[in-house]
Parts: sequence; structure tokens; C-alpha cells
Amino acid sequence: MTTNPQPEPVTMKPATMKKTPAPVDPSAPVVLNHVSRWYGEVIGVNDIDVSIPGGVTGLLGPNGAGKTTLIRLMTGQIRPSKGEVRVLGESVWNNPGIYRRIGLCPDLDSFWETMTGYEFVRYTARLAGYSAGDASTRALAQLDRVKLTHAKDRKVGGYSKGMRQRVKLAQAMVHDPELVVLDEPLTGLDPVGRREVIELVRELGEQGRHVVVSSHILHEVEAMTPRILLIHRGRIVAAGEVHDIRAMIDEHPHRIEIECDDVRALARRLLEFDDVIRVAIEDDAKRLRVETVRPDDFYSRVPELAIETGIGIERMTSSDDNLEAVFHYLVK
Amino acid sequence: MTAVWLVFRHTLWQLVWGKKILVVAAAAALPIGIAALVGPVLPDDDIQKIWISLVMGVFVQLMLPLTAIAFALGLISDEVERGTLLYLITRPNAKWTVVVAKCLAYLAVATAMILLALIGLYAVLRLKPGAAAIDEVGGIAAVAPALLLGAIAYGGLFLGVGTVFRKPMIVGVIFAFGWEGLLGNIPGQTRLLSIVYYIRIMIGRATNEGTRFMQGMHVDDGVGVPSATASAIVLIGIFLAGVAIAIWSFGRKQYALSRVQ
Repeated sequence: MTTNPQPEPVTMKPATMKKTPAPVDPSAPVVLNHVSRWYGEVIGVNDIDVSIPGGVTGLLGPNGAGKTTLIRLMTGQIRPSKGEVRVLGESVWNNPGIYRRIGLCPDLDSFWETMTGYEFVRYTARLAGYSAGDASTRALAQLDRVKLTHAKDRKVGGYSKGMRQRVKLAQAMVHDPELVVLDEPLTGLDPVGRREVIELVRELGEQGRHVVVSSHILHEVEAMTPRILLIHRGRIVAAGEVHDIRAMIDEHPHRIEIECDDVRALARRLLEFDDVIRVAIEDDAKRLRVETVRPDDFYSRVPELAIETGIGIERMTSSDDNLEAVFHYLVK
Repeated sequence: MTAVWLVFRHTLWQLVWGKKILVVAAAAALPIGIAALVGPVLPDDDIQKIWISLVMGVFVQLMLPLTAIAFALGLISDEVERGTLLYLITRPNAKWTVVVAKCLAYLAVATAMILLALIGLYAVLRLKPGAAAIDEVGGIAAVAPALLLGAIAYGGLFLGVGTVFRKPMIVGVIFAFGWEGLLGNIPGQTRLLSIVYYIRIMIGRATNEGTRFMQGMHVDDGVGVPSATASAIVLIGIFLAGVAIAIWSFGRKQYALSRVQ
């Protein structure tokens, strides 16, 4: 194993990244006032005191961080053990009237499987109080919006994972809610579907809607909004702009695996760059494990290197557990 | 009210096209099959006995509780299991509308199934010479009200059970075939704690043969036996209590916690 000198450890957080979230704004669309929720002895979220402003906000955290619990609290599915949740100026628990103003795309992959996509969205529109005619018009419009018009008469049970995800999005928007809450909306989508949903979320934001979207993948959230809340182990550990998080990640070693036909030659070339701090050749001599502090530069450089040296790159992947590293860094 | 109608219609569709209806249909076919098999070999005078025996035995003991277990017990819990309840409770409608709509759907399907089975049994028995005697002792019009009130009582109770308990099937089966089977057949005051007792009382009061049947089973021993009206009131009371418990429990529960995350 060969190494470059280690960079200085990160000791300063970027100035705009707030480890302690800003004071709660009671007029914000979503306000959580010292909210805790525990399940028996397990804490779901712990003393969350935050207001989520209008526009698109990403809720970012690793699996099990408490994102879904937070979403369930803000959509009135569960009651806080302590504290109060207010959405659009109203208490949300046991307040069915508020659902006229909230659209929820849940993380659960659950449907009445024998309904067609159109019947499903139309039914949810009818339940939201629209007349049969209006519900039909709205359902068709939303199915078109999520690019499902061609499959509207197929049973949801026969939909692919991506189509199921999109039909859930359609039902969340069918009643034109002021606040749209999306729990991991990109799960199961192919790259094209992801791009479309990302566009859709941005469009909702541009239309002046409030959107809370959860994910455990930073670049997904980054593509939707610059503003994020970081949640870890049931606490909001930071609130701020995505580029600040990116900066933190970039200052931490980013691990990338490369499979190629000449690992030694590639390793030698990579070590010439100062952002590469470690290169290890795996036991099978077919893979390299590289650590870099500037992943964006690294990714753009590798194709050029491959052309220049003639080394065949078969695969390049990142275990991308750097987000976890950032969380560790933030909660230290 | 639109929400009640929408959920009612959808639930009705689920019940009619679901697999559970096959179980109820099998139970409905049982007395008809028995009548078709034994009817031709029975003496003509016994036609009244077989009519009441099948009503008291198969309908009251088996079909009513089975119908409630199949349809009412899962009205809420099936939506929880499937994860679809979320779409019903995150819409701008009071939670009680879901319970009431589902309950109405159960009543519609249970009524239809019981009446169809009863008419089927009656039609098969009427093929036999001397079958007009059934009407003399009390035909469909005499037994149907008791059976329907029984289905209503079981339905309300099991709707409540299905809303309160996390594993309602176990509770429902133990109640229907343990508690009811045991308490309903033991002479003495404990029978007052079973639904089946009140159904039998109503049938017994409405038919002569039913009275004899009950005396044979020591159901109507003449001491402190409620009237048909009192029995009907008890059955309706059980239904209302079950529905009230279901509405109360449904309004308080946090269903997101019922699914494994």
C-alpha cells in the first residue's frame, strides 16, 4: 500500500453550516417544538426543535436516522410522545381537515393491487373531496405529470417498482396540496425516472409549494434543493446548504474502487495527484481502492487517464459511506 | 357523506371479489348440500325438523360467526396489513367515516350471503312433498330476522375486535368457536353471555319447531328466558357497542406503528 501525506484534519465547519439549527420560526409551514417520539425504550426522534421554511427542504440522514418518524409526525400519522407539531399553522394530530393541504408520498410500497393506476389516483382524489368529474380530470393530469398516462389502465399490481413510486407521487399531488411530503421518493427509480422526479420536485418548489423530501443519498437531495436538514440518531444535527455538506465530504477521504486491466500502472499514475491520499491494490490484483479528498476532480480525471495510458477501466464504484463519516464528524 | 359512500363501495368490492367470500360460500353451501343429501331419504313429516336443525345448527353455530370472522374481523386490520390504510386516513375525512363505511359494507355482504343461503336451503327442502309444512312452523320470514340480527351482532363485535387487537384472528376464532360454542350450550345463566343464545331464543319464539328444538337442547327451560324483543335489543346493543369501540379505538390508534419498519 502506498500513501500520500494525510491532509490536515478538519476542525472548522463551514460558516454557513449551522450545527445548532436557527431559532424556531413559528410562522414557518412546518414547526416542530421540542418534539420527541419514542417506541417503548427506543427513541425515534429526540427533542427536535426546528422550523422548516417554505420551498424545498431535503431531510437527509442514513437509514434508521429518524427521517420516517419525523415525516410521520409532521403528517399526523403518529403522535409525539413530547412536544408539538404544527403544520401550516395547525396542530396536525387528529386533525383530518389538514389533509386537504398536505400531500404525502409514503415510503411503503403498498397499494390496492387490483386497481388500475387511474382508479387509484382518482379514488384518492375523490377521498380528498373532489367530485367524480374533477377527480377524473385531476387524476389524468397527475398521471400525465408523472409520465404514467400510457399505463393508466394497467393494474397497479403489474407496475414496476418505478411506476409504483410514480403513481404514489401522483396521488400525493392530486389534490393540489400546499405542503408535499415525500419519503424517499427516488427509491426504485431508474436513472431516467430519478431525473424526472427530481425535476418534478424542483418544479413544485418553483410553483411556490412547500416540499419536504427525505433521502439517505446526498447527491439526490442536492439535485432537488440546496437546503437540507441533517438528521442522525433521532436528532437534527445540522441545517444549512448542501454545498457546505459537500465541502465537508470533500475534506474527508472519499473511497473509490476501480477495476481495470493494469492496476499497478494506474496506481502509479494516480499517486501523482495531490488529492489522492491512499491507493491500495486488492488481493485479487484486479482492483484498486483509492482514497481522495477531491472526488469531483478525481472522477473527471480518470477517463482522461484511461485514454492517455491506454488502461482499460472496467468499473468504478464508490462505497459512498462518506455521508456516515460526515454525520460522525457533526455529532462529535 | 361522500367519503362514507366511497369507502363503502370500495370495501364492498373488496369483500365480493376477495378470497374470503369462498369460505363463506362454502359455509353457505353446507346446509344446502346436507338438505339435498338427506332430504330425499327423510320421512315427509321430518321436513320441519331438518329445516330448523340446519338453521339452528349450521347457520347459527357456523355460518354467522364464520361470516363475521371472514368479513368483519379484517375490515380494518386487512388495510393495516396491506399498508393501504394510510391512503384512507391521510385524507380530509373524519376517521369514523372509514369505520362506518366498512361496517355498512359488511352488513350488505353478510345480509346478502345469509339470505341467499337461506333461500337456497328453503328451495331445496321445498322440492320434497309436504314441504309446505315449513311455512306452517315458520319459514324464511320467521328465521331471517334472528339470523340477520345475529350477523349484525357478530359483525359489530368482530369489527371492534379487529380494530382493538393486533392479531384479531386468534381472538375471533377463540370467541366464535370456543366461547360461543361452550357458553351458548351450557344450561344456566352463563348462556346470557353468548350471542348464539339470543339468536336461538328469537328463532325459538318465532317457530314452533324452534321452541321444541330449544327445549330439546335445554335452551328454553322456561326460567328467566328473555323475550324475542329483549333478545333483539341485546343483539343490536352488542352491535352498537362493537362499532362504538371500533370508532373509539380507530380514532386513537397510530397505525403507522402497526407495520414492521
